[in-house]
Amino acid sequence: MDTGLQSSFIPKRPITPTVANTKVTVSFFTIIALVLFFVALAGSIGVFFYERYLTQNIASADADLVRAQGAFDPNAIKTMIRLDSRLTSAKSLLTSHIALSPLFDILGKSTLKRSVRFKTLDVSVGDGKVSLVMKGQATGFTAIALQSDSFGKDKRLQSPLLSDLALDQTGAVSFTFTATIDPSTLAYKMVQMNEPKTQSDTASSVTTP
Amino acid sequence: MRNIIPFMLIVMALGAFFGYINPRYEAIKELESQKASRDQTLAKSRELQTLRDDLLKRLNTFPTRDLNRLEKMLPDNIDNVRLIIDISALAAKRGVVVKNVKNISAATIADQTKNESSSDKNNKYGSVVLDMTVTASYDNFIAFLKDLEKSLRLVDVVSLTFTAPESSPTYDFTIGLKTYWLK
Repeated sequence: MDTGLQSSFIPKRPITPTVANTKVTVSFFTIIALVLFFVALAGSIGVFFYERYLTQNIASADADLVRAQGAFDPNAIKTMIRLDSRLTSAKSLLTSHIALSPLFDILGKSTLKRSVRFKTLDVSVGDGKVSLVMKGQATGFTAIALQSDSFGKDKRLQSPLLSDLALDQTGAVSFTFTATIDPSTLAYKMVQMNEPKTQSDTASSVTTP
Repeated sequence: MRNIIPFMLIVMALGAFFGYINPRYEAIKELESQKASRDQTLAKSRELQTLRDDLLKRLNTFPTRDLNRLEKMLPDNIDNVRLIIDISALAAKRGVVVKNVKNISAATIADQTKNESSSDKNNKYGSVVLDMTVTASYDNFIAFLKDLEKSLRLVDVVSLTFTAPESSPTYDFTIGLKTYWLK
């Protein structure tokens, strides 16, 4: 029973909860250290997983490449390459393909039929031109002059030259005729284009040398 | 003593960076370049597959007959025996007699091939010149020449020589024929 009397002279503190005065202080240095540590930790984890991801990705790409390589049939590709070579080569050869037969039409048309005859003919194709050498005989120098005019008029015969003129015992004049012809004149493509015309010309104008 | 933990954290962070992150990053850069190269190759291979499919489709549209004709025009080898047979057949059709064929031996062909010019060496096709002598009348020879020009087996007349005979109606023609094959 509380009588309100103080039974002891020892002062008593009031019974109140003691508030601890422990204030935790985190320094700026610690914060920086923590940030750096966690950044380093996150970076290490990130680098580790990204490297694994890349390695797996490369392995998968390698597998895809092997599969893709297997999908190409080497024989089919070889066949296609060969066909391409054949087509391009054939096209190139056909472009430069020369038909010599029109040469005889040209000579047949330009040769004086009664006064000149040719005994030999030598044609060679090469170095971007067709060279022609013929040995012939004419009834006289007048016929030679006329023949020279006739060859000169045909522009398909380039650099026509009558040389080695020699009068024989019978009064005939032997000679050598040389000329060149532009291969494009004798190109097979041109000949094909002029085919019907050439055929009719051939029938009417071919003469034996 | 208070700063020892932050100091250790910083040391650990630096250690992780220089000891692990930086070396791995260098390795990652290498891997990234490898990956880019693989991706490029894969993209190229997909393009090639599309191209191959297109080409195969186009190839299948070529009639076999045309392909065979093309192969006859430019055979895989000189096929000289077939050439002589074809020329003889053409000649016979026009009443032309093939008297002889020169430079048809393997040695002369090899010699010509060896001596071909540098521009010819770059070609995808080889060529050889065969000399042959034929006997025919002038008109028959011209007809034969026209047949040769049109023949499926591609031949170019590169030289032609003849002399008009005094009495005989037939001539001896010497022809240089250039023929081709796919190397």
